[in-house]
Amino acid sequence: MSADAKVYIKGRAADAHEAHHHVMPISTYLKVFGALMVLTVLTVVVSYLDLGPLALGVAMLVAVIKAAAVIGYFMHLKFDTRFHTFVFLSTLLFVAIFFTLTFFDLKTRDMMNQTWDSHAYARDAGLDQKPALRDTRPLTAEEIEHLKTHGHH
Amino acid sequence: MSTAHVGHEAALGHDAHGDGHDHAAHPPHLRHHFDNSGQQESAAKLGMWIFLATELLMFSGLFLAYFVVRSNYPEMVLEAHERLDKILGAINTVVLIFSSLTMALAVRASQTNQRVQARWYLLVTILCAMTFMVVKYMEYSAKIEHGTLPGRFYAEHVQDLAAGVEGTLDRWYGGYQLFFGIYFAMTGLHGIHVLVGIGLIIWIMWKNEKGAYSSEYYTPVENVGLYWHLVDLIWIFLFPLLYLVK
Amino acid sequence: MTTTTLEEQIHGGHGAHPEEVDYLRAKRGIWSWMTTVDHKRIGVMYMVGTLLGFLVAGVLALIFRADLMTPDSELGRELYNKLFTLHGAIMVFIFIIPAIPAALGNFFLPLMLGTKDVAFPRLNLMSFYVWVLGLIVLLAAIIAGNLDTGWTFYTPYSIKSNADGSGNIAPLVLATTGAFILGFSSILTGVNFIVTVHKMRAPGMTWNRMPLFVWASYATAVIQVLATPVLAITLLLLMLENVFQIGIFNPAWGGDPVLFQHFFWFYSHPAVYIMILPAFGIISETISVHSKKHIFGYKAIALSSVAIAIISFLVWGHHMFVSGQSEFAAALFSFLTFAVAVPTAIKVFSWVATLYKGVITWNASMLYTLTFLFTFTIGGLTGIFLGALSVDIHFHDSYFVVAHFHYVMMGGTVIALLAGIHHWFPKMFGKMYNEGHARIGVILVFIGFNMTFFTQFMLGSQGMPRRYAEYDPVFQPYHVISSIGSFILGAGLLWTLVYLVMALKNGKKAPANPWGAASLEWATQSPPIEHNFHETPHVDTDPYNYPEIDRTAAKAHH
Repeated sequence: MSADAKVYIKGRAADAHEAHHHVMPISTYLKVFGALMVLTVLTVVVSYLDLGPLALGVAMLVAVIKAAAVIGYFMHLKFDTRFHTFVFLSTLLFVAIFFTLTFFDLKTRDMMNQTWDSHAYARDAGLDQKPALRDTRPLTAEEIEHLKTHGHH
Repeated sequence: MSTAHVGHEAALGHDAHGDGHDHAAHPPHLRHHFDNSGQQESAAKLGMWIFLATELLMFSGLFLAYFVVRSNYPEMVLEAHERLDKILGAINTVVLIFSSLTMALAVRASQTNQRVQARWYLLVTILCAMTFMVVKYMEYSAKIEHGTLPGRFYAEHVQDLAAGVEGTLDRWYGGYQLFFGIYFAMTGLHGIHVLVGIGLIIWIMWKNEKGAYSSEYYTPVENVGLYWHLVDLIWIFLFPLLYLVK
Repeated sequence: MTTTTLEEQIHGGHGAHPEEVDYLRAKRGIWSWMTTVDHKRIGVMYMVGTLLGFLVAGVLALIFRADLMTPDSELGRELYNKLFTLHGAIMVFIFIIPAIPAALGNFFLPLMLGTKDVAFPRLNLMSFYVWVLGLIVLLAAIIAGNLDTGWTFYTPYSIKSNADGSGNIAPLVLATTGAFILGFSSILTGVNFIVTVHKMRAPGMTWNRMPLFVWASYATAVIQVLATPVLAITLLLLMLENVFQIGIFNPAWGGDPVLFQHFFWFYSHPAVYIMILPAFGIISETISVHSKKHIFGYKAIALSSVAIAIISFLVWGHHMFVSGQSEFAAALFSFLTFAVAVPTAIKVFSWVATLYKGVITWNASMLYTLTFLFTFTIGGLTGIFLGALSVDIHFHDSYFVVAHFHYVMMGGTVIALLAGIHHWFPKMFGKMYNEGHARIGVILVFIGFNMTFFTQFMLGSQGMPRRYAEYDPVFQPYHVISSIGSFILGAGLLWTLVYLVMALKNGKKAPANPWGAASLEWATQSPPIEHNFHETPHVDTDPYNYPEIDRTAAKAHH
């Protein structure tokens, strides 16, 4: 094929090397890696702080920033065809639809009917009352009692 | 309008007869149904991104399941997650992110015709992936030993030396088996992806040794890289959700 | 503008090429078929496979329709349950999902786009073998394993037990593995089609010059890619629930059975559009070609396919109105469901408008197309009944639902598939079938189909529940009419199979463009050569250009 041959991609005349061969300097990769390490430390530190209901939000925010760094630089999406970004973002849109509509049901289910109440189930099964158990700390009297009656000695 | 088409065959520089065309004019990696390398490469990359979309949607089901369990049994999840080893989780996070870095550098090396560098970067990536699996193996063995297993296999061994009591908790005690069900499902599927990734990178490395890739053609390296970064990406969410969350 | 033949338009007035060896004869022997990466051969293999599935599942339906002629069951409840499970699972997973995209789509997408093959030919062959593997596993599980859950695998029934109450989980795990594998095949086809449409179009084949079948296949591929992975994870979680009792779906172990339905329908509702969208594509082709008129509302039809694909992800909860889902969610899903009617109606109106002042040929393909308009519209309108929250509470799990989805799936997809097969048969195999024989087939299918399923609307509205082997004798007259209808329908389809196979052997040789169509697949010889076109075609007109009849189109090209 001669160098000046006209080629067609996507039904239009186009450059034979449509895809961009964008080369990033190694230092950029290292900087991104450094940022990811800092953010990892941040995630761990945050998990030891008592942020209450904010904890999940903060952890997810940090994870999203880390993910964006991996996608943008390691996966080259920032320098890639914009359509790939579109593919990626629309995937997230459908994930969001999946989550939102399912949770819309779960969170509004007990408002009008009582066919299945997860909280009542948890209460009846005693899942919401038991204290934390770790094999390193002394057991409470209640736990010892439970083990004596239910546990296998 | 009919005259407009005369001679396009010549302008295209090829004809449509796969058997009749001049193979010498084509680079060896170009498959016959593509017009040129640019078309082949952009098709392969789009295909890979769409494949990644399917992976994301598949994992999204597990994430949704996780959030449902968490929303139904918030305290149980908090108690159960204390049984995971945060240190090992953090080590694996660092290992996996580092492997992502070396993978990205391997792609860059192929991009810039540095075959030997690519070899070493790929090797480090494989070693990191294997380290990840070894740590995972240690974690899983500990879970099996303690009996913190999913569903009906949950039989946690607990003891209190001071009180002189030791015994086994069944799954009706704290509902922890629900957390371990989702933990093993998520890390298990992720682990399978890591194993597949190791296989793919070994394949890429072998082809690299044979000199299959250059700055002209490195799409497979790039695509395996994309896959590997996705594996990393999912772990970036798994780590805080399973190991750290309060 | 002079009236040139399509062949001349495409090849720049060179005149026709001499006949060359076609794809069927390019290579010989069974091995050349089994290892082929030619999209046309893979399409033919899929077609044979899916039609065999249709035949088997259809015969199963006839067996239990015969049983339903009397209120008592000769088959017995267990066998009846197994038969309808097998019927549903084969029809859905093995036949109807791959029937149009993987068979006709595979064959015609590259031809219509003017390219040599799909983007990933080896992946295409792999998807076929994955499909074969999946169907073997699925069938083995259902036949050997006494599975009676229906094709939906609803929890907790699918977890609790199987028919013999043994608590043996192997059949369910095997069956879900089968469906899981079939899902992969579907994803591979979807990825291939999206990339092919984006990257492989011939010079001048802009988005607005793509045939509407391609648009529909593209929208279908988008759904396949986005929805099927969720099915995979759903089935995986169901397996884990069975083996490990992880407590995600079974309330006895702390799970939520309605969550399974969310997971399942997030895939399976869009999946019904995987089944129907390609059918829309076929109708857009046949209605324009056989009325020799430019399609009405090209862009509206093209974009409504995409709109349907997106909206299809927002409505899955309408399968769950009586499941214990929240009333608020149910109301929202009911509202969103009506939104699907808009792009669908745009299509139906556009098809009807296409007929206006066209030169209609009353051949088999056109007759099936008109049948489609009739039956699909009934199917679509009864869907509004079921999408309406309050009405669905009454109709749910009744024969009304059975009738509705057979009007959509059979009256829509299968009738459109028949229209497509009759439309493209000469191109695929280079033979003409007997038009008179085909018209007899259309009449039998039309009468049989409506007799079978229209009565089921009446049965359902009177309270006959679905999936029952025995019923109240007051329903018997309807059941008898329905069963007789199903035999007529079966006879019509068998007749169709017979004359098409006869045509393969003894049919007249088909010309390159027997219908005078304007899209690219007719520009090459019948059957096409192995690499589709002698030269890469250059496209500078849209695929519905019938200048001698359609003045508006002619004007646009001056």
